[in-house]
Formats: sequence, C-alpha cells, structure tokens
Amino acid sequence: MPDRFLQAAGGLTLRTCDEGVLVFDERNGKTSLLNHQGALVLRALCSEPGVKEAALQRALGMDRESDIAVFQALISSLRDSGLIVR
Amino acid sequence: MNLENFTASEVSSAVQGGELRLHIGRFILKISSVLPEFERALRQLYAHYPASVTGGAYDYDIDVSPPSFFRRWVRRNSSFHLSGEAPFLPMEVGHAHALFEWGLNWTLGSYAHNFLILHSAVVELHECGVLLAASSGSGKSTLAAELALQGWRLLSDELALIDRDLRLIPCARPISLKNQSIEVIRTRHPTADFGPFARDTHKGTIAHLPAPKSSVARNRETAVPRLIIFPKWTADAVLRLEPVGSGQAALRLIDQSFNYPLLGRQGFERMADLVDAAEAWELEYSSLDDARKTIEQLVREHG
Repeated sequence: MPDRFLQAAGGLTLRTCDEGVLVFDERNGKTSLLNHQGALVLRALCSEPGVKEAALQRALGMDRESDIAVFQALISSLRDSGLIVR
Repeated sequence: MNLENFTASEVSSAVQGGELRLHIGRFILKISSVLPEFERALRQLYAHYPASVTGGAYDYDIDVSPPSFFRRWVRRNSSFHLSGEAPFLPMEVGHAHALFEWGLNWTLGSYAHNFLILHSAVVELHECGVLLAASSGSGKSTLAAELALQGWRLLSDELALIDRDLRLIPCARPISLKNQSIEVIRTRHPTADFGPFARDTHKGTIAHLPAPKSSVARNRETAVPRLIIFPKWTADAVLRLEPVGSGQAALRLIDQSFNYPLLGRQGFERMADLVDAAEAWELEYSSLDDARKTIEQLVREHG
C-alpha cells in the first residue's frame, strides 16, 4: 500500500496478509479482509489523481456524516463485488 | 516455597484466613475459602506452584465459599467471588474446584487486558510455541493434554496470553477435560493423576489433569509463537492438514478472542504481527497419535 493511501486512510489501519489486506477501522472496531483485487481497487482509487482520489480521501477522513456514508457505500460496493472477504 | 512444601494445616489456616497467595505464572492470587473439599483439590492440583501462607500483594482476590452462612451446612454449595462480587450462580460443593477454574478463566479474560487474550491452548516443543486455537468441543484440551503427557511444555490449556512484544505468556494450570475425553486420556496414560471429578455439571463430568511439574517450573518463561493450529477432532476422519492464510487466520482468531475489541488498534497490530510470525494450519483428525505426529512434523519443518 502506498504511503499516500495510509495518510488518506485516517482512522484505518492496514496490514498486508497472505490473502490481501487486513483493514482495521478504529471508529467501529471492525476488522475486514480485502482480497488482493480489493486492495488493488483501493490502491488505484488512491493513486490516480483527480476526483476519485479526493473523494476517497474525504470519505476516509470521515469528519462529516456524509463522508461516512460515502465510505460505507464504497465498502458496501466492494463487499457486494466479493472483494471484501468479511 | 511451593504449595506442597506447606503442611495441610498451614494451608488450611491460610486459606480460611485469606492469607494464601498462589503464584500462577505472572499472576498472584489471593485465595480464600471455608470449604475443605476445595482446599484439598487446590492442594492436589496446585501442589507444585509457588505459594506463601503469610499474605502479601496480589493481583486478584478470589474466594470460593458458600453464598450464605447456612449453605455451609444445609444444601451445601459454593460461589466464586472476585473482589467480593459473584459473577456466577452457585454450584454444588463438589464442583467448587471446577468453578474456581472457570472463574479464573473469566477473571483473566475480563481483566488482564495488557495481553491480547485468545481462546486457545498453548504448548511448546523445541522452543516453538504452538497455539491450538478452537472453540469448546473441538478436542483442543484433549490434544493439549496428550501433548503435555508426551513431554511437550504446557503454557495453557485455555487462554493464549500475548504481550506487546508478541511473546506467549505462560499460565500453565490444570487441564480441564470433559466427559469422553477423560476416559481417552486415562486409557492412554493410566498413571496420569487426575484431580477430583466434578459430575453432573452443566458441561457434564469434568476432571482436571494437573499441569506437568516441568511446565509449572517454567511458568515465568515466555515463548515465541511459531505455529497456529486450528484443531478439530472428528470421529473416523482421515487426517487432513491444510494451510490457512494469515488474513483468514487473523479473522478466526479474532472470533476466538476475549478482548480484541477492547484493545482497539493495538489489538489489531498485535494480531497482524501474530499471523505474520506464525504459520497457520487447519488440522482435522480422529487419532491423537496422528495429530501429535503431524504437529511434531510441522514443528520440525516450520518452527
């Protein structure tokens, strides 16, 4: 994971693992497992300059209710796609 | 001095007067009781543990006594008290030592939050710490008992305590065996010395196998986690050993944790470090001999 993503992911802690990335969300204490594909999606969202990255950064900043909603929608989408194992 | 070095009357007086201190690894327990049955079981199951009978500092204040004065004589039963509070319903007097073990598990799981605590047996061979992580009924304690009786070091049969340096903290205590597991171990090890049986508990018959003396003597030496095994005993199963990815291992261990949610990010980091440091395997077996040989092979290859 690039440092930029880690900086963007305020409140999230990420650790690589055999299957992809373990993600810990300090806000709700939940731990998720992203597979490699899911990790790549997040990485791509963070690496590409422009709206997507800014949106993700805002979402991960989570200082507003709407940001949280965006982030949860993203995670929900990743889960529906089978990119989040749990 | 160990508990066995004191006379029965010295121990009895200390237990009744609240002066007994029992050292179990890093923990010092103040133990008091007015039940002679409990006191006898304590002397048998904890004979080799460091103890004092003159009071002193302690971590946990545990009393195993009848819930009321009259229950000492009429319809006798026992309650587990931690610092005066009774978190469980009373049980019959003959179950007092089992209640003590359950209560002590609950105490550590509820208060020892400087450690990441997992529901797992922990054993060691050739300086390779092995977690046997599984829920009740998987055969975890039976397997731990078998390994301990075959010369492995026992660190715990129920709780893996992991400190911030990722060391396994020993807390070797009597191994709790249930129902058929008792006969399995007695048949395989006829000279094994069990404590008193607690029959008709809510978990059936419970018997405790004292931790090996050599393990108790090393109850202050930490170990390094090298292997995580998710054991599952299944009747007539052909032995199956499959690797478990570190991410899945972390999720499964989180499910078996007592205090992971409480530790927050620190717990996550420690869990991630653990699954980085130790290879994880799922082991399904029907034969204890096969299981033991398989784990020994893993220790040789990956420890």
